[in-house]
Formats: sequence, C-alpha cells, structure tokens
Amino acid sequence: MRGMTATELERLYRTYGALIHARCRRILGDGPAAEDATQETFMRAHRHLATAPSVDEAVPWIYRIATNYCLNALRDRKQRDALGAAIGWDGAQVNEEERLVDAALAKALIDRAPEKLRACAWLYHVDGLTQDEVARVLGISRRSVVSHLATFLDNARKFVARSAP
Amino acid sequence: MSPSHPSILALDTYVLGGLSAAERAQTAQHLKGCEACRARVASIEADKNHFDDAVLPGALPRLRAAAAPRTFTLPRALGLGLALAAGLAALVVWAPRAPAPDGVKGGPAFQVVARHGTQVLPVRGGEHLSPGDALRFVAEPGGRAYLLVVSADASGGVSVYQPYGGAESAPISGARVELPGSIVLDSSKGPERLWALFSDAPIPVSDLRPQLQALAGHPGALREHRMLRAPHASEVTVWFEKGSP
Repeated sequence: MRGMTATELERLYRTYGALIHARCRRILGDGPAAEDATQETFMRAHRHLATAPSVDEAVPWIYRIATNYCLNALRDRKQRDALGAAIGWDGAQVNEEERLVDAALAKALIDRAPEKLRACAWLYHVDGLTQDEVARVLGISRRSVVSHLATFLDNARKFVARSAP
Repeated sequence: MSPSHPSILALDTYVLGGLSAAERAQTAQHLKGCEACRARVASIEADKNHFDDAVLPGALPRLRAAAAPRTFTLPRALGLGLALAAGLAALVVWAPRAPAPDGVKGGPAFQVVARHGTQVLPVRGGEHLSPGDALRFVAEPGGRAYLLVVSADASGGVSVYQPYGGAESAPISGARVELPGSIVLDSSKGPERLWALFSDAPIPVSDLRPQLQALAGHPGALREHRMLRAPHASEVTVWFEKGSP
C-alpha cells in the first residue's frame, strides 16, 4: 500500500471496483463473501492496476486475480460446508460433451478439478471466453489452454463414469 | 457462446472504455444489431450502478483505513480470558487462502474450528459468537515450515494461540494439521481478529506485538484491518464478533 496515496487508491477502486465485484459475484454469489473478495482482489491487484498501461491490459489482469481468488474461496467454502461430496446431478443421464456446455454442470465439475485447471475451465466453460482470451487472461499459451481444457474434460468423463450407477 | 458475439471479457473492456478503435467500432456495430449483447452491456452497467450505490460507500472507509498510516494509541494490555478446553467437536471454518508468492494461486490455508453448545455452526468472517463457544484451528501450511497464530480483540487483549502463549512461530509440517487444544470464549464483547502467519523461518512475537497492541481495543480497526506487516510470511486473517447470543 505504501507509495500510493489514498486518493489514487480510491480512484482505482472507483474505476475497477465494479468489475471486480461483478466477477466476484459471478463466482461467489451476492453477499458479504463477494464484497470481501472484491476488496481482497483489489488489494492484490492495485499495484498492477496503478501501472497498467491501458484498460485492455487491466481487465484481463482483474479476471485472472479475481477468478483465482474466488475459485479458491469457493473451494474452501465447499470444503467447509462439506458440500463437495454430493453434486446434484444424475451421472447416468449425462452426455458429458453436451452437458459441459451447461454452466451449472461445469461449475460442479470445476469444484472437483485440480487447481491449475480450475480457472481455465471456468473462464472457458462458464464465462464463455475464447481459448485465445483464456490464454491472455491467464498469461499462458493457447496450447496450454487447449491442453488444460482437454485434461479437464478427460477428468470430467472419468468422474461422470464413476458416478454412474 | 457463438464466436460471433463479443465475450464478456470484451464487453467488460468495452464498457470501461478499452479496446482498440477498430474493436470498439466493431463492438458498437454488433451491439446495434444484437439484443442479447445489448442486454449484457446493460447488465454490466447495472452492476456498476449497484456497486456505486450499495458497495462503494461501505468499502471506501475500509480502503482508507488500509491505506492510512496506522496511528492508533497503545491500549492497555488486557488478558483475553480465554481458556483451553479439550474434546471439541470439529466445525471447519475456512478463512481466505493466503496468497502464494505470485499473488495469484492459492497458498497456505487456515481453518477456524468452532462449537456452540452441542451445535456445530459455520462461522464466517464477522460471525457472531457467544461466551462459552469453543474454537479450534486447522492449518494447511502449503510447504511453509512455521506457523504463528496471534490475535487482538476489542477488550485490548493480544494473544498468541499457536504456539499457545509462545514467543515465536512453531514448526509445522504435513499437508493438513489440526492444532492441539481449543479456546473457549469468555464474556468479553466486540470483535476479535486472528492472524495465521505461515513462514519459512520463525517470526518473533515481539516483532508483531506493537502492531497488535495498536489494533487491540479498537473495534472499528479490528473489523476493518486485514493484514499485519510480517515480511516474507503468507498471512491469513479472520475475525468474529464476541458476546452476542
């Protein structure tokens, strides 16, 4: 926080706070959790935002920080509430290729995905970003995005298979 | 989503005034003919209005408090009056995961474990707890070798919970560690904030005590304050409100 005046900080927050909050609400839902996540995300991102050369560069950064933070928070919340053991869908009826376009199923599967795949899967399957955009947000190659999404889908298939009666 | 529609990332950037001139013109042209995307832009703008009206007024004071130099007066040193108890049923309360060194992926994690009478209740940040409620802690060190858990409360108390009453961080190993013992809340009222500091070397409590003493006894600061200045430590903090039924 040192090196930035309160006025500068407020200006940044007024500029980008709504976007961060919207990202956090999208993942965590309305309420105090999203507001806390907004502030935490902003605290992590503000130095970068202060030096970001343009909105075009700032927005993907916000997506990256907020998505990672909120997915971690979501996972922790799920662990805390012991909800992870029961996902509310019937594996016997699932055609995973079709159902993966269903954001609700994607969210459930993302909860179970390894950490390095979660943000990638969320941005692509839930937010509907292109693979190129996912690569830009996460700062990885498109090839890595394709690989992560393939691994996610493979894991999802296995999970669906295990869940079938 | 159809590739012919701008993504939500593109629309967010558009609303904030980003995109190249060509991309802006292309997006504007698309919006003229696409009701669905116009609705998404309207939703983004509604989010902005909601944030300005409902979130920003409450958030700015916290932001200012975080940005301001800490100039709290030293409070009286009071004991917490917390007692150890055993045999506590486990309620897992995850505090936010500490940032890893790159500030992006998850780092160490810290759980508050609580019991309210015979009932196990989830406790989130700012949760109201009662006298007699008991707490335990579970830590995921995430590869860090030491853990120190300290607290400050509204009655002016500063306490070291891990190692209990200790002078510096204690070694910790394992993926997930249930810390020994538990803490039973006394009848003092107001907020109490805990900090779990994961580090690669022991942190002396004396290094943190001035910061903790500056916050203790100041309910507003305890509710708003998030981080201690603990170099090279991954930090998780959670607070709760004591003394409510």
